[in-house]
Amino acid sequence: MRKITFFLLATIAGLVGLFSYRTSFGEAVPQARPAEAATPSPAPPPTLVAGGRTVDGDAIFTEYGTVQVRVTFAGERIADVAVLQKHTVHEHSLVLNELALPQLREQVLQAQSAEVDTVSGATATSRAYLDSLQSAIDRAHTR
Amino acid sequence: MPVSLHLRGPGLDSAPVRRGVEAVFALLRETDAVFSTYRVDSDVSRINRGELAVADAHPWVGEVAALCDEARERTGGWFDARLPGPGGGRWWDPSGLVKGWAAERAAGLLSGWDRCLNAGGDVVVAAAGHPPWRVGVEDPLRPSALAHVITLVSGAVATSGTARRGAHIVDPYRGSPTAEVAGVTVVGPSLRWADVYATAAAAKGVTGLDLLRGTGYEGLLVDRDGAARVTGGFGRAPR
Repeated sequence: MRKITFFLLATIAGLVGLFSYRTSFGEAVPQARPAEAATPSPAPPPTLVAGGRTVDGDAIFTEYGTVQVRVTFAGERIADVAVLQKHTVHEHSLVLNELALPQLREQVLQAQSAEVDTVSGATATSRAYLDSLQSAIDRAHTR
Repeated sequence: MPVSLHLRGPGLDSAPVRRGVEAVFALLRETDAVFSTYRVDSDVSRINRGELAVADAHPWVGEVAALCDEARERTGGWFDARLPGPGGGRWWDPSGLVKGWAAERAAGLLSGWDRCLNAGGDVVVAAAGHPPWRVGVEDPLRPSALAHVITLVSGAVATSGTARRGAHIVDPYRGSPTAEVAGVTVVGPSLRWADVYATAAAAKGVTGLDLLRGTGYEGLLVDRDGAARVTGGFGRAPR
């Protein structure tokens, strides 16, 4: 079955404000401003896999910054996931990155592709990670 | 916030689909322009500054205001868009309802196609005669893991939570943030109401799923210690 995915990043940038749940006052929730927030860290060298190929996922903007992953495929299997960009906006997001991103990588490698079509959740970090991952998988399957 | 739209089935590379997808994102952009509390020029911001009356605003504003009132009644006051504002006043912030309302309306523009629209973790799907969509529910205490997988032919899944982003849901009765609940996921026919019920249940606390009784919506609640509760029909056969 054919499946295509649309990501519209300009819209996402605009919607960050509306859709981040700020339902209390006195706490500042930083907004992503993609033009400035997307500060790519140097891309890590892809893991060397015999016959492997790498595909970059979309850069996903969240209220805490930008997340983008690079997936290394060995045949149909995911051999590695590297983080190209991670949240940079807020100290809180750095804590999330330290905790969440390595766990997410392990999870993906164990599960060998998401067995779900999408994920409902309240955590911006894992949403962005999975969206970037999904786009890389879609891209790998459509070329 | 990420918005992703997945379509599947034959005939997707066509002009009607492209126009439909453009319409979806155009609607979401317009929603943001009208309702964002982060934009000083949005209708909601102008209303909160006293510069604009609801009657003179975009027609969506009146519709959403009426839905917010209905949401307050349906949840026994546990969903309330009138947040405590600075100086002891009230501040109108319909964001908790607008997200589901807009995503649901946007996905409706693609009726006729198998679709899955995920707006920042709130999901609306439809599958006409195809395998149901599989919607993972993030474990609120371990975001790298799934707490559950919901198979859904048509309907909505919404999640509210406090675990990873701090207490940002306000108890409307006490006016203070609530933190008893790590996350609540609600499944049902309409995303706007699934979203409202999830927010209201998280605000109410560990007994929040009581709000779903008789509504046709089912829920999964994880408290801050990791204990899970579900309603009687949660996880039954796909609908």
